[in-house]
Amino acid sequence: MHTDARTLEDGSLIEGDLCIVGAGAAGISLAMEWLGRKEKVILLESGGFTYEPQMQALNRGESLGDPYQVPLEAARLRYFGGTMGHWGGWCAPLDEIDLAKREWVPHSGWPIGREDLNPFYARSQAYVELGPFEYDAAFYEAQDPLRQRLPFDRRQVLTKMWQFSPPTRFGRKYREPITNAENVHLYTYANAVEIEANESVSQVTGIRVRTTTGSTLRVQARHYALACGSIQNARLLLCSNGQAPAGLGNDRDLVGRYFMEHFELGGAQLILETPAALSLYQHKFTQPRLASGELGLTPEMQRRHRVLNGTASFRPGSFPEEMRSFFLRFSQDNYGEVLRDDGGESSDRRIPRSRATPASLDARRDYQLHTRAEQAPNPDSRVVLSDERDMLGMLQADLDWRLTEQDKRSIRVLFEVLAREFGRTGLGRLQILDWLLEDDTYWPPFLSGGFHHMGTTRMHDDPSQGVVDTNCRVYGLENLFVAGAGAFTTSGAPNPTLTVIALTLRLSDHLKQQSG
Amino acid sequence: MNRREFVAGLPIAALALGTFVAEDSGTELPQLANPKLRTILGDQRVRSLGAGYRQLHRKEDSVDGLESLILKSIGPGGRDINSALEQVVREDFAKDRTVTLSGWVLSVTEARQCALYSIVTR
Repeated sequence: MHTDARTLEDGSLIEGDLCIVGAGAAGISLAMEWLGRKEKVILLESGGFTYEPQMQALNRGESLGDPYQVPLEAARLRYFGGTMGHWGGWCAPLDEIDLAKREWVPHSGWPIGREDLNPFYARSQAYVELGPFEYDAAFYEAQDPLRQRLPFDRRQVLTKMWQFSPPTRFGRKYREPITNAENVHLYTYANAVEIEANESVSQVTGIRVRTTTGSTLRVQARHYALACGSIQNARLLLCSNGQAPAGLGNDRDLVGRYFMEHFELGGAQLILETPAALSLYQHKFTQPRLASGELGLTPEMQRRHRVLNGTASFRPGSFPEEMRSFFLRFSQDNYGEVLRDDGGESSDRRIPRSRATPASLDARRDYQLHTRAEQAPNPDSRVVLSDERDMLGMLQADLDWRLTEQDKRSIRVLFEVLAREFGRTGLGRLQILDWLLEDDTYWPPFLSGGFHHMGTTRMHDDPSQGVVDTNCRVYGLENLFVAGAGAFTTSGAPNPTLTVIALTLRLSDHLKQQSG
Repeated sequence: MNRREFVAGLPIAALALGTFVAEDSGTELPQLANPKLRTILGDQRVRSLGAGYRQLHRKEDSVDGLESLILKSIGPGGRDINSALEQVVREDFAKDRTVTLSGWVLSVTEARQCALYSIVTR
């Protein structure tokens, strides 16, 4: 079922068993898991079914710390399907080491391990239209003798495999099953502006919703799941200060902290001695999108060098004289023009033509190496409330993104190790780009991320160090949960979508158990 | 004519082919001053990297000094010099005996070869 919340009378009460706030990757996959059940699910979406500047403006906020060069208004999408409209389809699970406590990475260590996520990763594959949960490079080598790993020392360098979703546009793929479901009720243009708690702040009693037409609604349910992205989840908790002055779940001043992004930018130039296609490592945008690999450091090497996780991908050609941040595409006002998907029938407009042509896959000697790297969990990297309000009267969220020397050094070490392996094997030589050569916190203007907003409501088994417990329940509140990358304790290097869905399915199973 | 002047007078083509043999220059010098890196990075870049290395390592900045250090790294003779150089360059990378010049991560032996090349071709 679907209702445009703007058509409801002011003061309306909506009741159900499970209220999901946000209809992106987490919110939609959670709702899908509850299709056909006896419980009534309320799914609140801030926008409609397509991109609308007026709704996007609700995401407005300032960048206060290290330059996050994409406007917050553009980095997240407010319509059914959410920021999946930006998604490129890259899927890989976190590595075991990503979830482990690493003594050289302060604040690391999830309270759950990779083995806890594996069954949910396997289930997540279907949501993004992928085949088996298979990410072992040997599996793909066995399928094609032309696609083989580089002959590097496997005690030092590993090949991390990616699978590629078409990409699945959740807004299109799951609109019909959700709007046709009898037990799931989708409300569009329904903006959650405050979570209300009981006097003892032990239970959520309702969610206050506003529409852009001036109505205020109230939602009541047994359980509540916040699924509106790491920044908005934190904003909503911080703004919910009717009973708790610092915001809900924020007794220990942790909500909004540990914000993480992935660093995605050029790091080194490779020149091979003889031309090679490096087929296993070539990412083809043409369909079907074959699984492809990136190079990373083994856990032992990460430990030895005390670095974060990260991978290096190959792109044909040499770096141009002047490099631009991928983020700068979003520096103008026409965000709608640069979306991969606007909820309608548009094609993937953001894929560069030069990278879509098969000719670019020919054997060659020069390759750009780009990094996709983990950001260290840092309590000073955070989402904070602004003094400014949006059109619904809600305080805006600003981003104080803080990067560390370890973030940068980790990327350099990755390229140094790769450089030595290219040299040792006689395959070629690597030039590390200028910006990476110094041990400092300078980042170049072409620093980009992936719109991978993580942290802010981190999972920990100690309430003094985390906002949610191992079941993604907000500490202190028995019926409030967080779905999505906000619960990530550390970010790992892979794009978060597959892990977001896996964590959501795990949460869903827990909620089903709670519901009896 | 001192040794540097003599070597500087060697034809570049001879260095490129690694075939020049002169009685008082020692048989290895043309090969030592002919880094394989030229085929990967090109002459101009190799010359520039070599000059960069010499600036960073002033004490090594002589034909004799560089030749001696390279010969020491490849050990006693009796082997094909090019194979020995290739082997030691790979070992340098394996054992992290590297230098970074203008961002290029090079084996210290090949960096010295670049330096030698930059002297004899200037």
